[in-house]
This record gives sequence, structure tokens and C-alpha cells, in this order.
Amino acid sequence: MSEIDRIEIEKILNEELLPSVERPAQYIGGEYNSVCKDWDNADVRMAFLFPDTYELGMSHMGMRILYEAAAVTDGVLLERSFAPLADMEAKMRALGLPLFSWESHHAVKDFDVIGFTLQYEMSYTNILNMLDLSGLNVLASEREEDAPLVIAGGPCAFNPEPLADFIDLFVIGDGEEMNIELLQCVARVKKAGGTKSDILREAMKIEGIYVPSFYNVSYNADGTIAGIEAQNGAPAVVKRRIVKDMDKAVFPTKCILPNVKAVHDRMMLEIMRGCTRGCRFCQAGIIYRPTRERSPELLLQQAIDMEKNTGYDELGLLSLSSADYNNIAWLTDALNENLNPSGVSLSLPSLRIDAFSLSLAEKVQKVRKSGLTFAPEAGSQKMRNVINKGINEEEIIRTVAAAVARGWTSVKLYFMIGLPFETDEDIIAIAELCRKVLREAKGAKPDYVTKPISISLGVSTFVPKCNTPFQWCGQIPKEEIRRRQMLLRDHIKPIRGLKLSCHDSATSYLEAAFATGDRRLGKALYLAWQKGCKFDGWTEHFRFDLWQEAFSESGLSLEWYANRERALDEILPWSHISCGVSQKWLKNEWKKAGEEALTLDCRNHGCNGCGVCQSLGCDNDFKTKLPLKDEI
Amino acid sequence: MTVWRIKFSIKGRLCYLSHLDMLTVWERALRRGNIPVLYSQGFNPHMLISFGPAHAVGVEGEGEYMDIDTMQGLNEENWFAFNSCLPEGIKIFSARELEQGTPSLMQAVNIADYSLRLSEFDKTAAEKAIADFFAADEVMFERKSPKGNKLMNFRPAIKAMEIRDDNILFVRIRMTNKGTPRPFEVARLIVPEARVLGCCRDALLIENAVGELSLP
Repeated sequence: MSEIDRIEIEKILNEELLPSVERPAQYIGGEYNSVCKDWDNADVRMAFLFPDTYELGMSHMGMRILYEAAAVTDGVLLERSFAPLADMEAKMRALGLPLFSWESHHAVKDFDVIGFTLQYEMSYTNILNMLDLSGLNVLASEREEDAPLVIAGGPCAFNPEPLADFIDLFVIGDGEEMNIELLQCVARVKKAGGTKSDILREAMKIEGIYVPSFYNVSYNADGTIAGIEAQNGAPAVVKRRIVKDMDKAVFPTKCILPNVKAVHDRMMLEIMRGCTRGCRFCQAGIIYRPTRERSPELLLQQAIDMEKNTGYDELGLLSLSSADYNNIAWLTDALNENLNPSGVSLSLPSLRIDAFSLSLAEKVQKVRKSGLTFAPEAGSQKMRNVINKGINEEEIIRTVAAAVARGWTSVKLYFMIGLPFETDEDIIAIAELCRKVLREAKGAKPDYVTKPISISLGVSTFVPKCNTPFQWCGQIPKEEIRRRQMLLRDHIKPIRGLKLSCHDSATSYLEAAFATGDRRLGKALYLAWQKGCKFDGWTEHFRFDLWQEAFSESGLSLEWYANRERALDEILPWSHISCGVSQKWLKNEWKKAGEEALTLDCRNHGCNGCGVCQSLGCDNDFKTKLPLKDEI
Repeated sequence: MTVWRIKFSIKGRLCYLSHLDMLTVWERALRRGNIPVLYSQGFNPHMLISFGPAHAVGVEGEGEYMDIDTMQGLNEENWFAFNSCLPEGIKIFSARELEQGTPSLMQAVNIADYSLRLSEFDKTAAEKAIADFFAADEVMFERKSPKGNKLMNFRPAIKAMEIRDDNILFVRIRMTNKGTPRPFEVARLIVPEARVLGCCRDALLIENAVGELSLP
């Protein structure tokens, strides 16, 4: 047990902290629909730590799902915690107040399990900081046998290696079933008097669980990996866990209402998991395969329940490509018809650039045509073929013009620069495409619209991610990113009505290193945190100078990690973690990218052999199309 | 259409919600409770709700008020039943239909009572400070803010003040357009050595021209 109990924590919180910190409401907990189970009667207790602010964490779908899974399971207690803002953290440290849970205000250290979600590489220093703020040693090897088990999962867990020094075990893949199995395993071992080593040995038998300390990594003289060897009977390859039937998976309809406005403060309906489009830069498109749809009738019921339970007036339909969902038209009609007539507005992120998506957008934004976002990703047809984004220029222009003709005035277009095989012509093509789009859009503007057309470009830097066809290519050097951004800027500048914003190149540089790096990076991460790095994803907190110091002191080359192209026969740091898609297929996709050859979507064009269905024993699950009302 | 005047309390940590976040809490609760609230017209319709004077973040409320425009057909019992839709910490005490032409809360309310719970302090000294305060014609207080300090006369803005139960400073503050003293500032003025451990707005009141008080 901690030196501090919840009564004392609450006293300090009430008397010292809440009256004096910025935006105190984020720390008060006790939100409507939050679940506070009896501490003493739980078999196992887990603290779910979101390694960023409350406002961001409360927007996270995964947390809502895991929270619900625990809430409906007897004996399992799960409470939340978030990264405090700088002023709160300073005061907590000054008063000796450890990180606590939002529900019962127990010290995080008093839980059996502490779990982090890995949404973004730039949150890693926050993980170390939150462990430290909890009064725990950040290094797994230095923590006591009776310290909580520290676990992590989420998309970044597909290359867990940079965090191997800090995390006891990783959950790879869909968490809703696996997390409960793991917690019940912890309860069992602890009840039998087992210690942390016993837990790890038992937990590794659960499909999807990866215990990094059970693997020995050796290196070649050139720094590449010579071998990854499993020990203690751990599986040679850890296979990703999936939920096969989304209709049977838990889904939260009683979601917590945050006390301060969250970034995405609305109901969220996960309509399907997975995407079959196969854009070659996209990690989510690979690691969530195969596509599993939820039944439209079930989704409608969940939405109705959710509205009753929350009083929210906005509903977001979540998936990687909403317009691909088989029954999307049926569902939007049904939602419009069945939800509160006094106005639940729907939002449909991740739309394709085509007429069908536009008609969907029109359906959901009947009154407020607030804004549309499309992602052509690349400016030239060549590059769109390289990344397997199967759209052409004409479609892009036509769709944006049609949107303007129907009353939208503000359109956001997302692009990426620094993609493999990109030349200056491809950069200039982004500006050219936008020029054409803008010209057509202005021409299509109806007379009744008085607002000027605004097109804004968001340009991010390509970051190679593990388990994608681009995992072998390095990121282009930082100076080259800047040069290409300037080149684009020069070509955008003369075009009136275009607004350009570019992503910071230093952040992308580090992201590339951590997305594809090995476990030796732990040393740089540790040093960076010690130097005071945290909230690296926030421009105002990001300290690239400190990161550079950390890399040079740890004897590691950031450049080697971020910019090096990998040989196809190299042992990749994550090669003992399988997402189900075969490396052979990824290599072939990498080759096809160089040939600018397309791979068609298996939803409509048959299997293209990525291997995920065979490997995981689960096929794409597309639900039968229901007839629309006006079709009957 | 009916306008309901609701009297309610805010207790516990929910008092740390900002005015805007509190409005969101009410809007969602009203939707959950299926209360037929009327909406404004226009592109961004919003519920027709108006609160009394905003309470400072961190201050609890025992007698808060709000006006809600609804469709006809509700009765007081509906509002008591609606309590089950409110988060822990907010509770409705009473609800009445307003007659047409009743001034709005913001127009009518001009007095607020506060109780400040203080850490240990010298009661005799505090009571003397209070007596001195009322004996003076003006009591200047310097309000510090990042935008610059402001000198204010607190004397006419405080109608009553006393020490209760050894550790409570009670103060009745007039809300004026010349600047309203904040309860924490009054505590600093009267008992500078004490820390404020908790603050509650006990009541909102209406003072007429001859100094008589009534409830909104």
C-alpha cells in the first residue's frame, strides 16, 4: 500500500489544489455515468492511464470501450487517470501528492495493474512522467515484485520495442476481451500468492500478450538486429488478438460525460473496425484488418440508448472509412429518423472524395454546412498511385465543386509530403491541384452564398510506420522536409484563397525514429524525460534541443533511426509481433509502389492475398445491404 | 410557452465547473429528462435557459436560480422527478411558473449572501475589524489583476457581515455596476491571516429602494 490513502488525497485535492489550479473541473472526477465500484470487494483493480490531458483522453473511443468491458464484469474494477497540466503537476510534486484515480482517488500505485494507451509516439515521455508521478520507478527492471503490473496497448503497441524497458507487458490488438482475460489472470495468480514474475509467465499464454523481458535481442556490428530470441517458453511470434464478431463485442452506450469540454465531446458509434482500401502509408489500414462491420439495426439501437443515457446532441460515426460501410445510407436515414427531433447532429469523419460521400455529408449536415474535409493525400496521379489512393484528379475537383454548389464554403484538404518516390514535380502538383480545385469551386458557387470560398491545406510529413508497405523506407532528412515545405509554400503563396499549414518537421522526425526503432531507444527516451521532456506532441512544450542532447548522450543516432532505408531481408525490431498481414505481401506492395501499380480493394474486387484472414481465422464481415425506404 | 423559475443547489466538487460547463451539464440533463425546453430560432438553436448571476469557480451554492422556457403542461412534480436526471451535487428545491413581465434574474437579483469557511483565526480581532469596517465611511481595497490593479471602495457594497460558529465569515454583498467585492477579497480584508477552506453562496436576494429584502 501507498504511504497516502484516499482520504488524505481528497483532503489535499479539496483544500490545496482545486482552489488554486487552472481549470480545476478536469480533476474532480465523479462525472455523470462514471462507475465507482467497491474497492474492497474487487478481485482485481486496474488504473487506466491516458498519457495526455483530460480533454484529449475523454475523447478516446478505446478508453470508453475498455471502461465498459470492466464495468460489466464482476470483480473487475477499472478507474481512470490522466496527465495533469504543468501547474497541477508542479503543485502535486511540491505537496507530495501522487497521481490518483479520477473515480475513487486512490493512489495509482495502489492498483494491481496500471495500463497506458499508446495512441501516438509523442506521448511516450508522458508515460514515464506519469509512472514517476505515481511514485514508481520508470524502469520495469527496477520496480519491486509487489509494484503494480504496468501494461500498455493501442496502435503503437505494434512496435512496442522503444518502450520495452518501461512496460511489463503489452496487449497487442483488440483489447475488449483480452484486457479482461488478463485482469482475471492477474486476480487468479495474486490470489494463489503469486508475484509479478508468476503473473508474467501466466499472462504470456494469453493470445495477444507480449512480455518484452522474455525476448533477447542481439545486434550486428552495423547496428541492425542479428536476432530476437524468445525465452522462458514465450511464443516466438506473438500474434495479434482480434474480436471476430463486432455485434457480440461490448460497446458503451452509457458513456461518461466529461466535466470540461473534451476535444471530441459527443456520442461515438463505432460502425466498423478495419479498412480494406490498402493505402500504403496507412498503418491503421493494416493493423485493424480484416474489416468487421456492426449490424445497422444494432447500431441504431445503440445510438438510441446512448442518447437516452447521455443527453448528447451530437453523434459521430466512427470508422476508418465511413462511406465504405455497407449500410451507411440506411443507417444515416434511420438515425435521422429515430433520434431526438429537436436536433442530434451527425458527424461523419473519414469520408472518401466522391459523389456518394458528398450526398452522405449533405444528409448529415442539413442545416449547418460547417465544413468538409477530404484527404487526397498527394498532388500528382503518380504519387496517388504510389500510395494506392485510388482516386483521380477529376474526381477530386468534381467533388469539391459539387460541395460548393450545394452550399459548403469551407473545404479542408489533407496532403502528405516526403512520401517515397516523391520529386519536386509532385510537390508542385499539390499546388496545381489546389489551384484547379479553387477555380472550379469558385465557378460553382451559387448566387445565394455570400461567404467567399475558403480552401485550406493541411500538410503533414510522411512518417514510416511498422506493418505498412512503407516500413522499409526511411523518412527524408529534416532539412529536406523543410525545403519541400518551402517549395510548396512558394507555389501556394500566389494563389489567393488558399491557406496552408504545415506540420512541424522536428516532431515528425522523432516520430519516425520511435515508430520504427528498436528497444535501444529506451535509453534516449529515459534521458529525454529526465531532462524535462513531456507533452512532446504539443508544439508549446516540445523541446527538440533536449531530445538532441538525449540522443547524443545515449550514443544513438536519431538520423540512423529515422532516415535509414532498411534492407528487405533485415530483421525488423517488431518482427516477433504479428498483426496477421504477411510480410511477403507487404514486400510485394512496397515493390508495386515503386512501379506505381494499384492494388484493388478486396471489398469489391476479391482477395488480394494479404493473408490476414487466414492468419487470424477471421474473414471480412460485411453485413447484407438493407433496402432504403425510398427503394421499397 | 411557460417560464419556470427553478431554485437549486450546487454542492461538492461540481462547484469547480465553469459557467459554460455548468450550462452544458444542464442542457444534457434536460435532454435526458425529456423536459420540453424551447429552443431559440436561427442557425444555431440553443435551449432558452438563463441563469442568475454567475457564481465564481469553486463556490458552492445553496440557493441558486435559473429560468427555463418550456412548452406548457409541466408541473412542479415533474421538476422534482427530474432530479434523478441531474448529476450528484445538483438538486432542485422548488420550481414555479413565472407571471408574464417578471423581471429576469439578472435584472432583479442584486444581493448575494456568502459563507466562507476559514482556517483558524483570532475571532476577537475579526469582530473588531468588522465593527471598524461598518464604522468607516469608505474602505478601500486594491484588486490585483494581470491587467493592472484597481482601487475599490467596499463599504457601500457590503450590507452585512458577521462571524458565525467560530469559523464562518458571513457576508452579504450588493452587486453594483461600480464593482462587486468578491467573497475571497472580503475574507482577505477582514481576516488576512486565515485561509479560505470553502465558500458557499447561501442565497440570492432582491433588495428594493428602501433596503427590504425578498427572494427572487
